Amino acid sequence: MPRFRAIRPQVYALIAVLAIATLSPASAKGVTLIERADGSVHTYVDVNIRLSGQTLWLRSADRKGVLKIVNGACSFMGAVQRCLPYAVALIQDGKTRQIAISHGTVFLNLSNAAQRLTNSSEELAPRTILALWRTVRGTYVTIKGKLDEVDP
Amino acid sequence: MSGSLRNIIVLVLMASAPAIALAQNHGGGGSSHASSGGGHVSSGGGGHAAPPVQIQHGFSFPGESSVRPITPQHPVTQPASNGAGANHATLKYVPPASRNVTGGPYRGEFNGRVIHNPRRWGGWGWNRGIHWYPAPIYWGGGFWGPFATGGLTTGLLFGSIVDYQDQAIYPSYQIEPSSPGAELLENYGLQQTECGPPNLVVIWGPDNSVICAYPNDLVGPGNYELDPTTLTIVSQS
Repeated sequence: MPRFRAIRPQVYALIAVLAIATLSPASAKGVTLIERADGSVHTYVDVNIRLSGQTLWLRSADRKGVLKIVNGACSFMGAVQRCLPYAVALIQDGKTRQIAISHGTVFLNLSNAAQRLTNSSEELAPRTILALWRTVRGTYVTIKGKLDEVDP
Repeated sequence: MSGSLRNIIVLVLMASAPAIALAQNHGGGGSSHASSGGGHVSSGGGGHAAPPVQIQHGFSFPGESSVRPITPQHPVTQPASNGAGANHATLKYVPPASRNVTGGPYRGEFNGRVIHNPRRWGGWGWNRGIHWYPAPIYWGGGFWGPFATGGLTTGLLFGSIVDYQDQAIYPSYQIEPSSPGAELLENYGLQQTECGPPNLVVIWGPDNSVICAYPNDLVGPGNYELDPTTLTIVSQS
C-alpha cells in the first residue's frame, strides 16, 4: 500500500520520539528527531525548549545549534493550543539560514494538567509540547518535551 | 531499506533510550554514533545507498543548506466547480496573497451591515484572549484548518468563486471541524457547502480565502468579510 508506506517513517519517528521522551531519565529536556528523505535519522536528546510568545527556540545539548520555529494561527482545541509553524531558522556556526518548511503542527499544553489530543490516544503532560513538521526537501522533524522556559 | 530492518532500528533506538546519554560520552557503535557531548545520535536509514552521516555539532540538516527563504507555494491550476461555466483556459487561480488581504474581488467593499456573532465574543475572546494572526504557507492563514497551500489536493477542493472581470478563480476547501473557521460557522448556525451555486453565504477570510454556506434566518445570501478579532461578519455594501 503506497500510502501506508509513505506515512510509515513518520509513524516510526513519532513512536521513537515518544518512547525516548518517556523512557529518558527524569529531565525537563526535550527530544528532537530529524529524519531525512533517505530514511536516515538523527536523534537529539537533552534539547532545551523555550517558548517566547508564539516562537519556539530549541537549543542543542552542546549549545552549538539553535532552531527557531515561528508559529502562527494559534488556536485552542480544548485546553491544548495548536499552532502552525511557517518559518524555521537554524542558527549555528555563527550563521543563520532559513529552512523552508512545507507544513506542520505544534501542540502546546500550557496547563497544569495532562491533556489528551483530539482524535488521538496521545496525551500531553503539563507544560509539554509536541511538534511535527516537514521541510520542502522532505525532511521530517519531530519534537517532544517539557518546556524549559516560557516567556510571555 | 526493508521494513524489517527499519523495525529493528526503531526497536533498538527505543530500547536504548536510557543509554543515549552514555553514548554521548563514549561514542556510539554499530549503526549508530554520537557526537561527544552533543546529545546527538544518528542512524543510517536509507539502505545501502544512504550517505554516511557525519558527526556534527548542533543540529544537522544535510541537504537543506541551499533552500530559499520562505515563500508561499501557489496552488496548482485546477478546474472550477460544476456550474461555473467559465472558460477555464483563461482563468488563473489566485495564489495566497500577503497577510491581511481579504475580500477577493470585493476587497474594500465590506461596509454593510454588521451581523454580530451570537456568542458576543469580546476581543479574541473566542481564542481565550490570545491574538490570532494568519500563518503564511497555509490556506487562509490557517483560519479554516491546518491546510498547507502546497499540499492541497482536489480531494479537499470545495468549489470556487470565479471572478470573470479579473479572470481569477478563488478556490474553496472543506474546513476542519476544530478550526477557528468551524467555530465561526457554528456560532452563526451555518453549514458549509460547495462554492459555485448562487444565493449562498460567501465568507471571505484571511489571505483571500473563501468558504460558502447555506443561508439561514440570521445570515442571508451574499458576500461577507469576517473579523477574526470577534468572529463577526460584515456584509458587502
